[in-house]
Parts: sequence; C-alpha cells; structure tokens
Amino acid sequence: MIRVIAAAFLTLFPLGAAAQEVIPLTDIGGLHSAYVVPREQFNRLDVQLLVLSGSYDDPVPSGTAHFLEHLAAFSADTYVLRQPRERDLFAKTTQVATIYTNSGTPNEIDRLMKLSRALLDTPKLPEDFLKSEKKIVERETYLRERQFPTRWLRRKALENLYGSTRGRANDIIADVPKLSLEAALAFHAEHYVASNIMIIISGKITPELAAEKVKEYFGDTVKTTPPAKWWLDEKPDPKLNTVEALSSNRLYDDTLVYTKFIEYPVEDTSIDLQGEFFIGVSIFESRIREQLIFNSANFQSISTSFYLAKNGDMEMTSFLVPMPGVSFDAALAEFETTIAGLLDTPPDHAEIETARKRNAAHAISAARRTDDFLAFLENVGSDGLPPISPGTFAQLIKDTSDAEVIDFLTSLIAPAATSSIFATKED
Amino acid sequence: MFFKRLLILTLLVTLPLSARAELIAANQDPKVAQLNPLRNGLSAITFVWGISDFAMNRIVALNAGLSTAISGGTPDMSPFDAETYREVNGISLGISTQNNDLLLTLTAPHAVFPMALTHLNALLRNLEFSRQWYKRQSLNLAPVKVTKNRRPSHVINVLSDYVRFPVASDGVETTDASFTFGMPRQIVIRTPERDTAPLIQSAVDHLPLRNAPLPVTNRPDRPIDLPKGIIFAPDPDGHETLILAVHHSLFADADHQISANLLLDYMGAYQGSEMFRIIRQEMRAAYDPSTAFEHTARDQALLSLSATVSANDWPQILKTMQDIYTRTRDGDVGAQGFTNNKRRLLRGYEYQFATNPAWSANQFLSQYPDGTTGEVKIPLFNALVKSTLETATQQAAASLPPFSDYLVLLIGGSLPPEELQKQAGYCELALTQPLRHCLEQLQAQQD
Repeated sequence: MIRVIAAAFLTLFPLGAAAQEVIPLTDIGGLHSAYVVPREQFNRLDVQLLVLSGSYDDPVPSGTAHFLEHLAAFSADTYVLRQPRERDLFAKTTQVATIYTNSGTPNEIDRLMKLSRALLDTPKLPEDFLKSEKKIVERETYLRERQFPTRWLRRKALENLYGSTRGRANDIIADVPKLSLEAALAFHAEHYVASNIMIIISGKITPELAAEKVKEYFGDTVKTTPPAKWWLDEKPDPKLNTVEALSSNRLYDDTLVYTKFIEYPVEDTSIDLQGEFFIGVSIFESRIREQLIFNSANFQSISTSFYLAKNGDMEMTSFLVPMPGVSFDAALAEFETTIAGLLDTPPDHAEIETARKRNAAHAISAARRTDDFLAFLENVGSDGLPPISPGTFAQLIKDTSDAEVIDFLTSLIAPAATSSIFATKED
Repeated sequence: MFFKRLLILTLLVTLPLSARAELIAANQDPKVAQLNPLRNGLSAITFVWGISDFAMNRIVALNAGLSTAISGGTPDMSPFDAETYREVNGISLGISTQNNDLLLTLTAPHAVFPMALTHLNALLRNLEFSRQWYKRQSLNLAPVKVTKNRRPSHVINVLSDYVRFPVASDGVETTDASFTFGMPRQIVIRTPERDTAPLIQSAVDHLPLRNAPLPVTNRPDRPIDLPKGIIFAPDPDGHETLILAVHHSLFADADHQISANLLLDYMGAYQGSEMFRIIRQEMRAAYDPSTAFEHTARDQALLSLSATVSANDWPQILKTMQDIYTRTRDGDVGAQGFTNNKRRLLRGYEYQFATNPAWSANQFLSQYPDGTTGEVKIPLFNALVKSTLETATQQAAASLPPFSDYLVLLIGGSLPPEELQKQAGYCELALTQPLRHCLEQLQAQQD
C-alpha cells in the first residue's frame, strides 16, 4: 500500500519550477481584464476572481466589503449545497480587492467558472440567513481582533496617520454592529460589476480553452464605469509625526508600531515602479536587519510590510519589539536614525545584484507552492495592474537598473508623514 | 520500497571543544536513513540530536541554543553574510522537537545542496556562541500565556509541551547557557543523489562526539494524561469565550489512531464538517468551530474541539459540541463526509511526505526512534489507505474517549460553569497565570 502513496507523488508534484507566462485574454465582454497562466506540470486548475474593491472602498460602516464577501460566496455556497463540501471555498477581503479562489481539477473548469460567474449576481438566499450572517462577521471580527493584536495596532497607527476612520484607515470594531444587509447589497450593485472584475485562470489549461471559457461565461457582460477610488486622493500632511501610547493585556511583548506614507511620482501607474519596489524594499529590509538585529542588542524582532498603491502612494508599517529594558523612545530614535543614515553608503552594484538574487530565490520558492503562487498573481493584480507570475517576475527584476533602485530608496528614507504607537504589554 | 534501507557510516572526529559550552552530540556515529526524494525540486537533510533533560526550561534553552548556533557565522562569512548567502541560494533551516529528539532540517535546491551541506557543517563547527542572540531567541521561544490572544493552536501547543515535557523547570538557570552541536545520533536525508555518503560526510565532517551518553532526566516514564474537569479564565472585559475541549489519547494501534483522526476530522475539520454545518451555519454561533488532531508521540495524540463564541453562549455551544462528539462516537457518521475527509487526509499525508522533510523525519522517528536496518514500514500510512467507514465506526468507542474524560478550557467572558459542571474538577485561571498552573493543580487533585 505504501507503493500507492509513492506512486501518487509522481503525478502530483513537479521536479522543478518552470517559468510561467501571463497571457492577457481579449474577448472578455465587459470585464476589467482576464489572464491565463498555463502550468502544465500541475494537475489542477485555479480560477481567481478579483473584485477590484476592498476594505479601502468601504462605505460607512467599515467592514461592508468583508460582509459582502461572506454573502456573495462563502456562506451562501455552503448553505445552498447543504451537504459536506469536497473542498473549501477560499475568499478574502484585502485593502484594495476582494478575492475568490475556486480550485479543482482541469476537467472541472465549467464548475469553477460557474461558481465564479455567480459572484456577479446579487446574492439570492433566504433573508434571515443573509441577515444572520452578520453575526458570523461579528464573531470573525472580534476573534481576529483578539487573536492578532498587530491588526488593531496597525489600524490605530493608520487612523492617526490619515486622521480618518475611512478609506485607508477604518474603525471596524466600532462599526461592526452597524453592518447592514442593505449597505452590503448596495456595495454589490456598485462594485461587483464586470468593469471592476479581473479573472486569472492558472494551472493545467491551454490559452485557447481559457479564452473560450472566459468568453462563454463572461462574454455577455457589458463595460460600465468602474467605481471611483476616492481614497487615492486622501493623503496625510507630509509633516505629520504622531506618537500614541497605550497598553493591553493581549500583547506578548511591548511593541512599537511605525507607519510612514511616501508619495512616488508615476507617469501612469505604479506598474513602472514594481522592479525598483521589490529590489529596493529588499535592500531596505536587509540593511535594517543588519543594523538593528545583527549589530544592535536593542531589538528582539523587527518586521516591515509595504503597500504600493497604483498611483505610487506607498504605506510602510514596521513592528518592532524592543529588548527588555530598552525604552520606546530609545527604540524609535534608533530606528529613525538608522533609516535616516541608511544610504550614507549607497548600495553598490554587488549589493543590488544580491537583492535581485534574493528576489529571484523567493520567486522560485513561490512557484513550488500553490498558495504562494496564487498569492504572487494576486499581489499586483489586486490593483488592477497586469498580474506578475514568479516566472515573469524574474524578467522584471532583471530589467530594473541600479539607478532606479537607488532613486526608489532615496525617496523611501526621506522625511515624510509618520505615525507611531507605543504599545505596552500588561501581564 | 518507499524508504531505502538504512546505512551506517563511520566518521572520524577530532574537533576540540569550547570550555564552557554544553556539547549536544551523540557518542557514536550517526545512523542514516535515506528516504525517497522530495518532489518539489528540493533536497533535504535532518540532523537528529537526543534530548537528555526533558524539563521545559531546558527544552527552551536547547532550542534557543541551536537557533543561536545556526544564526552564527562561518570562518568565511559574518552572521549577516551567512544569512544573506542562504537567502540568495534558497537554503532554509528549521528547528523542531519530536518525542525524544531535537531536529534541525536543511532544505536547498538540488543544485546547491552539496554546498549547503558544507555551509551547515561550517555553522555547526563555528564555536563562537552569541550570548546576545541566545538571549533574543530565549525570549522569542518562551512559552506563551494562552489567555492573551486565545488562539486554539497556541493552546494546543502549550498542552503539547505539557504532555511531552511535564516538568516545568529543573531549577537550572539557563540565562547564560552556551551550546555546541556535534555529531547527531541520526540523519535523515532526501535527495535524488544515489551515493549520499560524500554528501553526509561533508555535513558531519569533524563534528565532535561525546565520550559517553548523558543521563536522561525528567523524561516521563509513561504517557501523560491531561486532567479532567474545567479550567475557566474569566475576563470581564472580553465579550468572547474560547471553548476548547481536549484529551490526550493513547491508541491501541495505528488503525485506531487513524479511525480517531478521521472521525475527529468528520466532526470539525473543514467546511463540510458537522461543527461547521451546525454551530456556524445553523446556529450562527461561531466563526471558527473546528477540531484538531495533534500527534504527540507514537500512538499518542491530543484530540480537541474548539469554538470562539459570544460569552454568554458557551454553555449551549459546549453542549452542542458534546452532542456532535457523542453522536459521532456512537457511529452516526455520514458516508459522504467521511469519504471527503479520508481523501483529504490521504492527500495531506502525500503532500507532507512529498514536500515537508521535517514532517517526514518525525514520522520516521516515531516509528523507528533508534533507526532500523530493515525495510521501513510506517503502519499509519497503511492504516489510512485501508480505513473504511465501517471500520472507523466500529472502532469509534475504542478510539475516542467519552466526552466526560475531556478537559474543557473556557477562556474569556464572565459566565462561570455551574457547580454541577465543576464536579469532575475545576480550576480558575487568572489572566496573569500560565496554563500550567491549573493543569498541575487539577492533576494534583486527581492523583
């Protein structure tokens, strides 16, 4: 019987990662865009439907996009089926997109496309079920608030950064009791329109068949004006520099949250910045880590995330855990001083080349795991830009010049709006 | 044959030791097992060192020590340069503990595997031990208070530590500990290379041996039971209560373990489960109802059911969880759901074996803690492949303990259990206390 398992391995997994081409489809009705990414070596197929609106697009109350995500597919599907599911349905709401992933084998293409197409229809379920899904969203919101303290610390920092509880910031905990079915359905009517939808089909499928299926299931949709991204125009005062102190018994460690808003000039969209973004961020993180983890004894851990919007706005959020005995003020001063001096010795070609290799290794690794591969496609696609696969990423990195990387880093470390939280753990 | 036969290597070592560092090493050459190659383009090697002191504080120190050792530099590279070298070459290192052993697993693309092994050897032979890094890692690895963020997985991890390492501290101060890692007692390697001897030699070259094995201390001489009863951690400021019912089970054989795993999955794994259907979709009471099967040792596992609910709802949901559990244990199991779960578990095993060398090494070591020179057979896999709904339901009562044997944790909210519910055992946990406080208190009452 062991032989059975061993034989199954041979059909399930590739021996290596190959380049993946991202092919745009043209006969797509009114869709924003559609792509196919053939991967012959995997005996599976994934259909990602990206609604190009997420939590940043929330009306009042915050959380409406997330509530609708539940209504549109997750709960609805399970409720309708009323039988054990063979596989779970994956959906998530990010800042700028709501992403539904239906997965199966290549011969299930029609089922996967039907499930995807159905998302554009107004949820049709018993009203009591739709309304009671609000309770589930409440449970989920409170649960995540408790389980992941970085979520609310980040939210508080962004509220201070933008001086708002809408758009790029939110106040989900205050708003969750106000969620309404009416607001969710109105959001569906405005945002779940073809012109605001991207389809990415990846896996064992030919470009021809993918094109045929997109035309079959979405060819009847019509192009309309997509919803406006009003939050792109809301920006903090560049001189802002706030600090808020708080304490909580939810934290394992004292935590310093540092957010920064940087504006990059772009000609059209941030697609032109992607190469220097990935390489520059890699150099930034590497240099920060060398200075504050390898050469300093004052930090227990540091992690940083970046979001580059399609208009060139970038949001940076760092979580720093100072070592016991190191004050927040001292930690913040050391972090900011390190950032300010980060380019005193500009990176030379060798260091930039190392960052390229680091990114390439990451891309190759992502290609080995389906979850990472799909996340790769979603990453840039969520902004309505052409998705980047691990394979096409390699070329992007190669085509970016050293000078472009240094320009990017120079802007990244320049003074800009910041907001910090000093969060003290309570025992 | 799924696993290739075991090889024995003879290796010479001459490395002198640092005066104060504790040497973690075998006293004889390692036994080597070569398993089938991974199917994701990577090769892997797992070093297995025996644990001598099973007190929890020493386990944390040992893990922090190994983390420190592999985060150091080599004669040719600073610690930072060594980390960068691994990043750009796709080399990763991971640490885990399993039953009696500490495991270090290196994975690397096939093409760079030989130089990755040389790099690993250089890391382990580097005698510089950063006290600062060790202090940082000790903080990062310190046991968590489960009352803080109330993730079921964190609670399970703490309970898993408790049943494997029941002695919290042996009284030895570990703040200034220092370690050197020498010859492992076992090596598990996965590579398409047929002749692995040169590869292994490069990885263990000049690693020191101990003169004699260390005496084993603080290791439980029998599987540890969790106490029965209820642990309640009130938090008036919290509007949510995490319900987690858990049992540390000892199975008669692999068939019974697989039956328990499949039935528990039927109750609460994935969106097709009974708990999802009833507690989430019908009662609208929780977002996260689920079960977990956490393997702790050969023929042993933590079985758990959990849900986070509105604070005043926990009695009703706990009763529902008990009903689902009892119905399943009584054999009321739907064929479609069972079939789905069997397929998913089988795929999960296949995927783990094909891509996760640390998981595979765990399975191998569970079955062969001292290695083997014969054909390798893992009974769990055979049991899973041949399992049927009929067998699982017939074995249900023997595989799954009655719900009354479970320990129930309630974290958050302010609604305490009723007196009747406290009769099997009760402990109130302050938010500032570690979970072990109540585990030890209940255990003492019931001993």
